[in-house]
This record gives sequence, structure tokens and C-alpha cells, in this order.
Amino acid sequence: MQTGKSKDNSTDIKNGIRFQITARQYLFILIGSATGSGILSLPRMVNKEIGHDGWISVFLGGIVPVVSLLLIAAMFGRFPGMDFFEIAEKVFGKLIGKIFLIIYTVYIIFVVAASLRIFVEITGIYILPRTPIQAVIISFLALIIYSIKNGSRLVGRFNELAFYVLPAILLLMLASLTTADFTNIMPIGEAGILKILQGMMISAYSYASTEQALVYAPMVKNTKKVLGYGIIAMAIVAFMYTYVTVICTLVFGENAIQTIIWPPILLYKIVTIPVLERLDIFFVILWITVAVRPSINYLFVAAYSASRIIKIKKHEHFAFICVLVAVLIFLLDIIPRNVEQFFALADILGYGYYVAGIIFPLMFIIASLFIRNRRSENG
Amino acid sequence: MYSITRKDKKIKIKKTSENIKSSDMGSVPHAALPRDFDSKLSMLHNYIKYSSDIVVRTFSMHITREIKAAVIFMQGITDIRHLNENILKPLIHDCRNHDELESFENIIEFVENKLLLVGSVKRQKFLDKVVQDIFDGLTVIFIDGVSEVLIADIKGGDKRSLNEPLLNRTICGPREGFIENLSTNISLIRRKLKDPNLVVEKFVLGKRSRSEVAVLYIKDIALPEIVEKIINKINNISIDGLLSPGYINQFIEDNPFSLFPLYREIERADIAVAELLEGRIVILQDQSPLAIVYPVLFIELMQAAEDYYTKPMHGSLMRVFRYVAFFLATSLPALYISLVSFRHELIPYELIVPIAKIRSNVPFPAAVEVLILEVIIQIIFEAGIRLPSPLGQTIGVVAGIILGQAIISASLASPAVIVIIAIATISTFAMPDFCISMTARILRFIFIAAASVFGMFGFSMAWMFVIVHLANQNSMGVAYFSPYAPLKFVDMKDSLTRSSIFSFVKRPKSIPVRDDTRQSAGSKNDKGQQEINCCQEKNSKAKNIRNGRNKKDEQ
Repeated sequence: MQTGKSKDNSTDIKNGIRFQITARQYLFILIGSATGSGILSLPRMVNKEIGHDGWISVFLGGIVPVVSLLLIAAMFGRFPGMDFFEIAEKVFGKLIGKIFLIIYTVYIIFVVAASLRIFVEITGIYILPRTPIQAVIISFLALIIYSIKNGSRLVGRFNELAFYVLPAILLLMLASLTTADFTNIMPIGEAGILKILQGMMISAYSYASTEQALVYAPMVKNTKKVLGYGIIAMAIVAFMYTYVTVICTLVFGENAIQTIIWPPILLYKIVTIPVLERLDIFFVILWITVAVRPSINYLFVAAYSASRIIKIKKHEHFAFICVLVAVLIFLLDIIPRNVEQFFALADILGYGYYVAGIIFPLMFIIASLFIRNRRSENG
Repeated sequence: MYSITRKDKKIKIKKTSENIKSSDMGSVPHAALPRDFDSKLSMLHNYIKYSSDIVVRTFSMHITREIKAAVIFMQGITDIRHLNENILKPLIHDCRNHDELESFENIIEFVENKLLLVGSVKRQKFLDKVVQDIFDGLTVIFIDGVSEVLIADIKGGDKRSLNEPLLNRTICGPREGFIENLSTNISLIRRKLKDPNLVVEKFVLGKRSRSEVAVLYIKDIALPEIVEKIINKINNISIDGLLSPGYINQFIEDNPFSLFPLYREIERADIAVAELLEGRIVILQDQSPLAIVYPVLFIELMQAAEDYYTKPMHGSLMRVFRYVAFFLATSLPALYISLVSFRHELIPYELIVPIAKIRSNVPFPAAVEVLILEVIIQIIFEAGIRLPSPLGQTIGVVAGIILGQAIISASLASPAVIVIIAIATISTFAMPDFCISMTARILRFIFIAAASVFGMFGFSMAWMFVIVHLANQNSMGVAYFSPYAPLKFVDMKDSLTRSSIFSFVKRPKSIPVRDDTRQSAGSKNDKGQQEINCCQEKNSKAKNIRNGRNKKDEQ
């Protein structure tokens, strides 16, 4: 990319070559963002709320992100060729539009902070018990900055590569089925429809990732494929979540599972494979590649929207913003004392997902209707 | 034939870099040559008098009258026999019988058309060009009374014979490698690829070395954007001397600071042809047996030519183990450190006891132990390359057996570490590409450092950095880590493993090309026919055998 820097728009952060992704990369980004640390606590959460029928809620929870994707697609459909930032300013005007964008960015920054801290906590417990948490966070942030500073193209590529680890880990889970007890999920549907629907809303937090589509969807080259690939991504995620929840419920039972912080990791403790002793540590090491992805994807979204808000155009300056946002997240991550506060924060951010993923696009669509009406009245 | 001849190209290049050239050649004025023979010679004499290897052979031609003439050439570069037979003999001897001089405009036209028995001849008017041509190794013919001179290309001299190359060795494949002669190398490619669309563009690079560089591509396959990009980058190179294509690489590579080679160095014509057929660009340089290929993918550095020459399963097996070898070469010492000093519990119980027992004698931590041996191995490797081959083997024996034994008995390292380092080192040389094995050696040190500081966590973080780095690289704007990222499902059939040649109907999608059809649809069809015939034969054979058996049973 050394030639033609001044001529073409290859270094622009809007529509530049480094800020374009393929539809397939979009799919992997959505999958990668959803399958982070959330999947580790999901079986416990749903079993606590709904009991052994939790997996039904988990499966049905996949409807919420699909609704979100449909709304986002409808929103972009109303403004072809524009991205989220331009739409916000067009619909609500410069000032109010900017306030919405800032809310969105702050929300994303908090999501990164929470997910990174929880993830670091897991690695701390299992692999680096004596390393200060700041060192671990800094090394992760270094990796994240390195992978996002070159644009969404690289983020997409990394998500594609890291995807393959996930099926491998999930297949290893099958080995723990030797201790499964099928009476643990029987009878199916005991909890009742109402409770299952209630659980659906809780499990939908774990699908949080579609709010990123606001930023990633306009970057996809082939706009026709965006919605379809997004829904496929959510179907894959729903399948994975259900699969993990079912296996955890089968093995531990609804009562025991509530006392385990991260049931899927414990699954690997049960399994012994001749050469690989302590499969759970092996799992966490592999898990690093999977679980760092939400942080990468979200931090990119945060840095990208921050630079769009302050009207940065060139890729060189974008790298600088990445570092700034990363420093901010580092500070956010080391202020709270313990991980409990982050779990509390994560619960609040769950509602934030509804705001960013569903209410935002809905609001934009409604507002755009008014604009069109007003225009037609004027004209 | 799209081949652009040397003459045209040279003039073109000179036009683009006229300013640089005229200032550089300040000592030789851009002056027209005079008509008079002696003044011509004396004018030239100033510039060649310090080069005693330039021969000025004066003689006189007898065509209706005595005409003074001279041949100027450089010893060692000019083919002397060619010169004697086809230039000097006709000029001095054969011209006596000619009396058709009147039918030609001037003497030089007569000489060019009737006397010289040389394939490529051109005319030159200016002094600086003539001096340049003499130093380029061309033969200059001066004739009295004409301001133009004739320049004949009869380069010859010594060159190495075709040998099996050191790089890209193969068991089942052609043995011929490139040599240090550009025209021979191009002819090796032309012999294997008789396509008139094969373009050979020549450039002269290096202000002082004036090395010839040829860019080869197939016109209707290679993407013009990539070709243009490479040619632009090559034209921008302005350096005094160019000794190897490695120089060009460093100028035109997309990211010179990447650990991974974003080009491929090859030494065999069959690989070059395979690359050309996939729409890539091959750069050859005179006086170097190396050819470089752009754009290149990471997967190619794990491929050897014979993967394609043997059965797909055999090729795939070798290829998978090359990936395994790459992993071992880069990661095995780091894995050992992170397991032994940070994560004993990951090692099986039966293994940890003997390891701990041996390690109790060694005074160093695992990281230091590994580093000591790693440094020794790297030095041995370097020494092995530089020493003459008989001595190299001795070094190998001394280093491998004596030093290894001594290190263990001096308790400087445990036998386990020696095994680990030996496996990693051997794996390094299982790489089919020399550059990637160098990359593996550097990566090994990085991983060792990461593992000794952060253990298993550092190791996997370092790998992630490498993967992100790989995904970020481009070779002439083509994604380097394709087909893995960006994912190209179609190309997966020729990545970690390889399927049959008949399944490669299209060219690889990872490299953008103009024409991606490789096989016409019919090439697979006759397979079914053969199968039926075979079946019939088999059936009849089987029947015979069965009958025979029955008979035997009866007996």
C-alpha cells in the first residue's frame, strides 16, 4: 500500500479499502462478538432463572438479535449508501444526532471494559494466578490495538481465522457426555411457556453483538447479503449456545450448575484424555483466541465511532484514536476493586443492548418517517 | 509475439530517466560522432583507455577502395569465435569480391546488409551511447567516412552449465535450475511455456552496474494492475549497483519490516511456469540464478513443486507435515519452557518425574538452558553453510555428537532440551522455502522470549500476534494469508492438502487474474469411459480367476 497514497481513497476511514469487509467476514464478526465470555456464565444464569428448561429459552433468545438485525437492515434500507453516523446527523440534526452517537460510543466502551475485565479474570484464575491484572490487561490491549489499527478488514480476517478454534473446543465437550444423565433435562417444558419467555429476555443479553451491525453492516461490500448472513450468524450462535447449555445441564443438573461460576470450563475438568492432563487449562489457553474477539470487535467499533464523531478522515489518525480509547478502557478496567462490580455492570449493559440494538434503529426508522412526511408536506 | 525487444525498451527507459543519466554520464558528452575515422577513435579513446580489457582492432576493408575500420569489443564478454567468423572474416576477407556498393546509400548500409553475419545489429550516432554499449558488452564497428557506427550483439563468454539447483530441490520433478545468465533462464521458461502471450519486458537497473532485469508474465492471465504496480516500482529504483534480485525485493516489497517473505525465491523453471500460469509475475535478473515471484501467498511457501507431480494423497501428506514442522520449528522450545517452568500439571504424571529428575542436576532455569543450546545450534548452522562441504560434515559430527554429549555430562543442559532443540532445528529445514525457514528461526526466539516471561499465556499471545500480523500482510496488494483469511472456500482444495489436478478447473481465486479458466469442461469426461472398460476387463479376469479356482478346488 505504499503507492498512490494521495490519489485514491485507500487510507480513508470511510469506504477506504482497509475499512471494507466481505459478507462472510461480517458473519464471522457477529459470531465472534457473541461467543465471548458470556457463553461461560450463560448455563448458570438460565438454570438459575428457569431451571432445566433453560436451554429452550436460550434457543428462543436467538429471536431477539434477529429482530434487531431486521430493524437495522430496515434502517439502512431507508438510507441507501449512508452509514450510521451520517444517518444519525441527517435524521436528528447535527447536535442531537451527535448526542445519540456519543451515547452509543460510551455504551460500547463500557461493554469492552466489562467483557475485557471478565475475560482477564478468567485467564487470571486459570493460567496466571500470580500475575498482576494490569499486566494482563496491557498485553491484551496491545494485541487488540495491533489488530484494529489497520481497519475492519483485518478485524474481519482475524475473526475468520479464530472461528475454527470454536468448533474444535465445542466438539471436545462431547467427551464429557460420558457422565451425562438424561433425566437432568426431563421433562421438557416443565417450566411453562411464560417462564421460558421470561428467560428468553435474559438469555438475549448473551446474544449482544448485533448492535455492532450499525457500524459493520455499511462496511460490507455486497450489501445484498448483509441481512441473510447476519441471520445465519445468529442461527449458528443460537445453536452453539443451546448446545453448550444442554450439555452443561445434562452433566451437572439444574441444582449443581447454579453453584458453578463457569460451568463449561468445569466440563473439561471432568474429561481426562491420556496425554493432555488438565484439559481445563488447555481449554482456557485455546479459549483466549476465541474470547479476545469480542474485545477486538467492540473496541474497533468504539474507536471507529469515536473517530467518526470527531470527524477524523485518515487512517493514520485512526490508529491514534485506537490507542486513546484503549487507554481509556485500561483506566476503566483497573478502577473497580473486584469482578463482582463488573458482573453488576454487565447486567446493566444487558439493558443497554436493547437500547442500542433495538430501540436505536426503531427510533431512527420512526424519525425518518417523520422527515419524509414533513418533506412531502413541504413539497 | 508480444515480446518487447531489448532495443525498444532500452530507449523507453532512457527517456524516462534521461535527466539522471545525462548528469551521471557527465564525463561522456552527448555529442554526435564525426565522420573521420581517426578523430572518431581519438574521441572514444579518452573513455576506454583505462580499461585494458577493451580491445580495439583496426583493419582496412577493400571495397572498390581501402576503407579504414575498427572493431571494439570487451574481452571475456564477447564470443571471440563468433567475432572472428562472422564479423572480422566478412569485413576483411569477403568484401573484396563485392562491387555493388553503389546500389547502397552509404558504406554502413552496405556493411549491415551484405557483410555482417550477426543476428542483432543496430546503429548508433552519439558518443555517450557508444561508450555505454561498449561497457554493456556489445561489439562496436567503426567505419571511416560515416558518422554512424554499427553495434552488434555477440555476447558470449563463460557461463555455468545447467545444474540441479540448491533451492527447491525435488525428487520427482525436472532437475534443471536457473543459471547466472538471463537469456538462458528466459529460454528455460520459454521451452516449457510456448505461449505467444508470455511477455518478457526488460529493464536496465543500477546506474553503474547496469543490470538487466526481466519481468515475465502471461498477458491475458496476469492482472494489468498488479503488473503495472510492479513495473512502476521497478522503474522507481535508483541505485548504483544491483547484485541480486534480493535488492529488488527490498525496494518493492509491500512491507519490508514483515518477518515473513512477501515474495517467493525460486531457482527452477518449472516452478516459474506454474507461477506464471496462475497469473503471477516472475522477475529475473541477469547474473543471478534466483527468480522472484509476486504476488505470493503464505500457503505457497509451504508448497513444493513435487506436491503437484505426485499423487494428491502423497502430496497432501507431505504438505500437512510441513505445517506440523513449521509449528514444531517455531514453537517446540517455547512450549517446553512454558510447560516445565510454569505448567507442570499439563505434563503427564509419568513424564514429569523423569524430567524433574534430570533437571535437578542442571543449575539453570529452563529458559536459560534452552537459550544456551539454541545459540549453539544457530552458530553451528551458520558455520555449516560457510565451511567447504567436507569440513561442514566434520563440524556437524563434532557439534552434534561430541558437543551434545559434553553438554549433558557437564550438566549444562538436560537431554530433554537437546531432544527438543534437535527436533526444532530439523523441522526448520523441512521448510521448502529458505526464507520461511529463516522466519521460523526468528519466530522461535520471539516465542521463547514470550514463553519465558508469560508462560503459556505469553506463548498463545505471541501466536495471536503472529496470526494477526499474517492476516495483515499484502503481497502486491493481494491478501497474503488467503485462502485462510480472507476465507476463500474454493481455494481450500489446494491449501493444507491438495486435491487432484483435474479438480483445479479454475485458477486460484486468492490471486486476482484476468482469465480464471484453467481447464475446458471436457478434460474430465473420458474418465468414465475408461472405468467401464476397466470394469469389463476386471470382470472377465475375475471370472477367469474364479473359474480357475473352481477347477483347482475340483482337482
